[in-house]
Amino acid sequence: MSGQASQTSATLADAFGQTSQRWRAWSRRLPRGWPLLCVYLAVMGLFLFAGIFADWITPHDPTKQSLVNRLQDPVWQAEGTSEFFFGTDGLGRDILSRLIKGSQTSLLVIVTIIPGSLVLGTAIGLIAGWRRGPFDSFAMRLVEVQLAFPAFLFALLIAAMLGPSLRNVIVILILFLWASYARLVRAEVLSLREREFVLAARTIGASDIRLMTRHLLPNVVNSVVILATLNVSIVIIAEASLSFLGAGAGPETISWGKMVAEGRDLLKIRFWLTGIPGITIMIIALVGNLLGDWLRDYLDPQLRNIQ
Amino acid sequence: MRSELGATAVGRFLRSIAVVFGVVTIVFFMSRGAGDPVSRLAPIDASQQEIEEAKERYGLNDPMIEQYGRFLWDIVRLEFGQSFRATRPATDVVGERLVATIQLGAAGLFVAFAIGIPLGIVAAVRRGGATDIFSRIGALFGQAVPNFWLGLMLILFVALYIDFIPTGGRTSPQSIILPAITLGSFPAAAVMRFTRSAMLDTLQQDYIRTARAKGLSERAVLFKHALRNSMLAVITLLGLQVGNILSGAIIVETVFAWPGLGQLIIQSIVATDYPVVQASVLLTSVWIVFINLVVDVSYTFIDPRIRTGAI
Repeated sequence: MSGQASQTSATLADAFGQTSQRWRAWSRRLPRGWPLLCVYLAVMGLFLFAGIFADWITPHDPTKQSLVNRLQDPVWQAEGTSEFFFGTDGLGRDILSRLIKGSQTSLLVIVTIIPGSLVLGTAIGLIAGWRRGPFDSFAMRLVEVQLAFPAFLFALLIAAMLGPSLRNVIVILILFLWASYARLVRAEVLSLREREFVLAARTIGASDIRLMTRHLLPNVVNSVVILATLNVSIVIIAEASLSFLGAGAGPETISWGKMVAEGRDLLKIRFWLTGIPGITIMIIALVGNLLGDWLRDYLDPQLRNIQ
Repeated sequence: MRSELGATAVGRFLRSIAVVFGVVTIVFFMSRGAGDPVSRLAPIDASQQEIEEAKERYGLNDPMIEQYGRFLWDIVRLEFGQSFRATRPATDVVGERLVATIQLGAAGLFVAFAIGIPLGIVAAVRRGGATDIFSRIGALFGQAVPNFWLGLMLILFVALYIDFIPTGGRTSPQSIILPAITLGSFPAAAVMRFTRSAMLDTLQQDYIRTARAKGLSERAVLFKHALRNSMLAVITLLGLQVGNILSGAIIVETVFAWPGLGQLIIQSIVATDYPVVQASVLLTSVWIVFINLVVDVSYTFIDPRIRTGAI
């Protein structure tokens, strides 16, 4: 009996040892800090999912007002029901549904502004660093103008004239953010252009376009991607702030920043109306920054100087 | 030496003028390109003829280049037209609010640097220690919390419980406490991270080793050698933060009902008082450029290497 038992336990231990060995060998190939990375990716995945499928997954119509259901308590309060998980606002609209629909706005802002400013800035930085000359000096003067350009104030100015609209916010933030990419790419190209592989490519007669797109661009992609990830929090907070002030998302659009503003009047008695959207903004911005930091450490530890 | 310094200062000044000119040009063409203000500002029952008359009166039918010239000339004379709401020159209305905003901005910067610099120093000197870890976590949060929300949470959890601290307004000296903390939190994180990395860089320099080798006390090494040299980098950050502080102030002022420029801008947007918004935006940009100029020039004073073009 006892022999059999010890045999079983030995087999078990053996099997366990093998699995754990295999697991260790496999996990060694995972990047450093992978458990945290999984958390970041899970949060971002949830955000993406909510943003993409918002129209199908909201439990209620996020814009539907209802006097009967106004100011329902969230599920953790004594009066709360799971029908309205985060409760309802002063007009009887479901907070959870509005939160999901609001992630669509944040996602829209991110997927337009970040690629827009990235492409614009990278192209200008590549050409300025490679061709030098008058284009370079002109581009660098433009970057200086941008540094002094009060984009936030300007967004308010445009909103004052034309009414709040997400489209204007997107255009203004692209015009504001391109310069950081241009400066970064230009600086890297200036050091890359002296390297042997560039000389070699030139010797065999590569054209300017080919040199920039096939030889220089792949070498700056890492830093550009890191900067883009770190910009997620800037874009999210900028849109939320403008919407909070009534100069961001238009009247029909649901935005986390606007939800904070809407809950303000009830701050004393129902702080979760402002608390929930605020914490959501914070989590996405925080995870964006953490992901950017992780990516920087992973791709190139020497790139510590990006922000 | 002296004339060199003068030449640098003049050069920077000319460049600042070019930057202001650039900002003004962008504001003009984007605001005209974005649409015509008269159609939006006109009352709903205005007839087509009245709209046309208003356009004529504001010169919106003239050639673009003529409008641009007039716009530039108006700015040179600081002439932004009458405030629609207050029926006074827009410049006067803006000027009244400027003091409150400068006060708040200065207090916010003070909070940022008073928190950021000491924490950054300690974090760098005791790298990996408790202060380092906690202040880096703090900085992560500081850069992720939207400041309008932080302001509301401070009202909720501090002002409503401590009678001494009001929830808003500008009535007593202590009413600046919460707005200044809210405004300073984001730049404090940047200042902390920046001071930390500047300090870490400096501490690895050869002259620090020399200073230690010749038997200076750790205190003298830190304060006389390391700190002084890393503060150079921190001063540049000051210039960069002024713009952030101003946009932050607009938000914080609305949260705390602080009667400054930001609140004025928001009220003017609601009231579609376009001249006041334009005057505030342009005056603020000029101010940002001016501060950057001052920081640039003072930087040249502090670090002779920049003067001689060594960096």
